Amino acid sequence: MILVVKVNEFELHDDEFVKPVTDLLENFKVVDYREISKKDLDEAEKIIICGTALKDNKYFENLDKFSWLKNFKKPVLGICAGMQIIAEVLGYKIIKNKKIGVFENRYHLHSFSVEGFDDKLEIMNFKGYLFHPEVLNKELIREFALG
Amino acid sequence: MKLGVLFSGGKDSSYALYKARNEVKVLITLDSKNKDSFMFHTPIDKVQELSKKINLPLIKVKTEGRKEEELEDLKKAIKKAINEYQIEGVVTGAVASTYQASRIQKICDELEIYCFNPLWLKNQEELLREIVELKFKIKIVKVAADGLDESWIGKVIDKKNLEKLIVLSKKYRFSISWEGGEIETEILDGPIFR
Repeated sequence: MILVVKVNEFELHDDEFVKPVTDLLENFKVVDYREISKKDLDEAEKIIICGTALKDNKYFENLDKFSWLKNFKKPVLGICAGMQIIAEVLGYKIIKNKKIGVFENRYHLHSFSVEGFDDKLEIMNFKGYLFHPEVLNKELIREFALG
Repeated sequence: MKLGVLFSGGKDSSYALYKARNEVKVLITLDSKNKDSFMFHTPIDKVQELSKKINLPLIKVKTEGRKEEELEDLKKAIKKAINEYQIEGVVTGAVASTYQASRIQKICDELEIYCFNPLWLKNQEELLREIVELKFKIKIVKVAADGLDESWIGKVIDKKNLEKLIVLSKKYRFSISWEGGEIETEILDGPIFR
């Protein structure tokens, strides 16, 4: 089972930031980042942390809810905000970097990025894409799910 | 949160309005002179009447429909909705067009409001089936694709016609989302009419 962590504050964003990801998966469970249980983490084979809207930065105030990432050994993929969360928890610096639209066949929708990284991150079991692969690069999500 | 819906009276913006219905305070429409606009669907002559039936106020701004200039006009319309109805976010019916979606995202970002795209990347067949299932009555008002003759104009998309359109879209390879203007629709009735 892949645990899909939703980060968006408003339910109306579920269909925009979570559903396009779960549409690419077969066996998954969606959970709000504030409600992840130890059982969820134990049962998950992999985890995907979704992105959210440009103006939705509520999760930055609740980064303690992601402290489980520090000792997590299974594969984790962070999309956009998800990549920023992984980086922040692992101690990297978040910097302002606004990018909206398609660049080199990748759909970007973000106000921040991670210092020292371009639009990708790979650290141990953690992978991150600053762009939204569910839009134009669906194969990246399928590869993560199957790999 | 108070929201405004970018509303053309077609199936996608009507369904987006349905999804956000409890928070919507105003409809926003761009009346474009350019029938080939990449941003705004035409015709929108029924929008005024629809806004009365839906019981929501309408902000309608005219645009020549010149590329990029029409975005400034859209920004003006959204600004008006912020000033008059205190909206904090805009809802769109964007499904697959990154061109449309990213431009609206930029405008919302500049105006510091939220952007909601509840139909984003939705499977096109699934979307149409849901719309029909929810008893939206959608009429075809314009066709522009191989495989679609004028006999389709005026027809209502019910289950039977939907199946026919799905078959035609596969045979003639036009997108079933119709975001490229292959089919323009107009809503006649549905759950958003209070």
